Amino acid sequence: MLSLTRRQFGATAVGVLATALTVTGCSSSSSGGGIKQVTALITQEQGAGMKPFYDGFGASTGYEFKPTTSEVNALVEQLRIQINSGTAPDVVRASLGSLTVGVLPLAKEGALADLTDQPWAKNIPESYRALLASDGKIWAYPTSGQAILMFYNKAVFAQVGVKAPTTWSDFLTVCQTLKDAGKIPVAQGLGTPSMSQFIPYMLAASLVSAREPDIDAKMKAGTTSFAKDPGWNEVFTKYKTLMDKGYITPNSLGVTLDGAMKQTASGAAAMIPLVSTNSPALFASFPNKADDVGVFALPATDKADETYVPISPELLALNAKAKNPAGAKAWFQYLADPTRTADYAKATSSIPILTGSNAVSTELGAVVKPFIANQHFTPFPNHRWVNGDTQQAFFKTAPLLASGEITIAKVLAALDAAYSKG
Amino acid sequence: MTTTAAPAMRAGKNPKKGKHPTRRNLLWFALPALALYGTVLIYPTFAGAALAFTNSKGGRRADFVGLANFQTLLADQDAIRSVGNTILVTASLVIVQTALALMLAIGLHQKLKLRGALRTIFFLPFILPSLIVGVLWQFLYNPGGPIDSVLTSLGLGSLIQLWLGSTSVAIWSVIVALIWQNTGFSIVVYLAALEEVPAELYEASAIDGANARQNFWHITRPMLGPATTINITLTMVGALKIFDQIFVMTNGGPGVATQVLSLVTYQQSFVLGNYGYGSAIALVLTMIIAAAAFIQTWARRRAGAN
Repeated sequence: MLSLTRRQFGATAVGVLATALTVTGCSSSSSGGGIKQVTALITQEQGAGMKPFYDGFGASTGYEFKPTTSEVNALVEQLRIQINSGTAPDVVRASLGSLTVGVLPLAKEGALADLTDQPWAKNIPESYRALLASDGKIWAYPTSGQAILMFYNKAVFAQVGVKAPTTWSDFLTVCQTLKDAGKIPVAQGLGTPSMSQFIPYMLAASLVSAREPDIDAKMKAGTTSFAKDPGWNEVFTKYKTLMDKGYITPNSLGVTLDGAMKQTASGAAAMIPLVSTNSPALFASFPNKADDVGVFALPATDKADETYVPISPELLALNAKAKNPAGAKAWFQYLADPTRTADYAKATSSIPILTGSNAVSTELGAVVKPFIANQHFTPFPNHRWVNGDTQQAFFKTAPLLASGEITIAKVLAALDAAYSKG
Repeated sequence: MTTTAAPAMRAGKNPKKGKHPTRRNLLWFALPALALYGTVLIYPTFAGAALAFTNSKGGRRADFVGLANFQTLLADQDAIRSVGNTILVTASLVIVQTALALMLAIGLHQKLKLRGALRTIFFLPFILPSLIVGVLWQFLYNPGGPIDSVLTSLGLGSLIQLWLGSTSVAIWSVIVALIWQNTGFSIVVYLAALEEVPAELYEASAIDGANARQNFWHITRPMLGPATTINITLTMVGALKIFDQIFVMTNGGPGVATQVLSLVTYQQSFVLGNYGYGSAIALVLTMIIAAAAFIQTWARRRAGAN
């Protein structure tokens, strides 16, 4: 009995070992011979935008692009684990800012390969270099930019007789006219705390980043802060003005982002601030999709030419331990083609940001084009903050301005406290 | 004789040995399960606990920082608030859910026409995925949503609240949703215990002239003691770990009004990448759960001994 058990145990162990060897053999032959395969971990949105290029890439380079797509939050968790365990694919979607899978923290720990010598690197706009470069090296390829903009229901604007504003005073007048017509001027679903960023970030592009390009250096040095900075004070004062005048969704703390989109699509609300890559979800609720929706950059002052748009890049990086670095670089180069950058941007409701890219033939592309041409764009403020805690503090405090449970001074103090964690 | 006796003796011993393998031999059968258990549970648990004493940001390097993460926790107002919320949710669920389940179980134990259907209806929410429950209640609590409509139609419009958007109301709205989801399980535990109460006890008490209240207090309540222990322990442990429903309904907001320890652990570890600090919070939560379960078991044993 005992010897039989041992024999069985031994046979099972041999079987398991043989299976493991077979599997290992298979995988190594596929990846070893896989010099032709470029693996990637990208978001679902990126995957949707890149899919039309897979066949062409294979035909022109001989490489096969084989991505794994994932929802963005799940991707962040997966990527961290894969980097730690040395199993990350060749191409990875890196985040901006100070997150653990942020491009600069990853580069600092040696997880990314240098892309400085790539032909497209010289086409990265100067204002974005600080986000994806350190020690004089470029660490990521910017696929496109996502912008925060004000989207509006064209039918409601036409019905009430208002047009997209170009100054802050115009914007307030439009809001009042809409309110008088029984419409909610701006849909806000602060039950989704991240929505509280959109209006302040749009205002901050003009009032903070454009006026003080070195504010991040000053904040790091401790010579200024959210509370001391006149720009940030003006941002929140203007945001609170919209709340106090009843220009945003009533009881917005009980409404989600999805609910705010529905308000806009139903015509109950006229405008909604969104990140451009979220706009397809809004378009989907309209009969004629994007054709029913207008878009404009939110002005922050009474001079139209002082308006800046917050645009931040989406990034792809090359794993330092990539099995196929040549194939990954070929993929970046293939994507960097001016026509493809525009096609990708159109498919993902984003904006091509490499200089020399073709224009995007959408209303979004047309609205953003002059701002790009005039260099009137800045990264989202949070992408330059020293930690993720500051953004979390934003989510926990800014929405409460709507219910009057917190003051602007307390919001700014909370942001400073979080920022000071470093 | 000897040549035949020895094999006979061996024949007499060996089959017995074969039929009753030693404990050591049996361990071989448990080895795969033990290896799996050790790999996916024991090792990660201790590795996670060890992480609590480091400054790990998720990267490859982490330095030992002693108790620094626990000191940070003591000074973290959001985390302190989340401890309070966790205790409030747990206490509410343990008290209200257990009491409600007991009353409903006694009701459903009676010979009702629709007893089977009612039991199914009450148990149904428990088998719904937590994320679905979160989405469902988020919909019900929408301003102008079904709950507001019902209150308005009943002439109780003045009771309408910003159910998930008010810092003072949101935590109670979440608690109601949790009780709705989990009471069915507690009912089932009580129903199983009620089936075990001998009918003779009630017959004897009836002869003695006991009323319903006396029946409950002197027969039903003591006989349901073990079921109450099970319900309280499972509810308590489940409430301390609650995550999914709150994540979906409020994500801890507005502000930090519905933030609980498990949510802070998630945010610190997977949103902010503070794996060391997140693990420290998780370790504290584990200790609280272990202490709560231990106290409950000890109290029950003591009550049983008395």
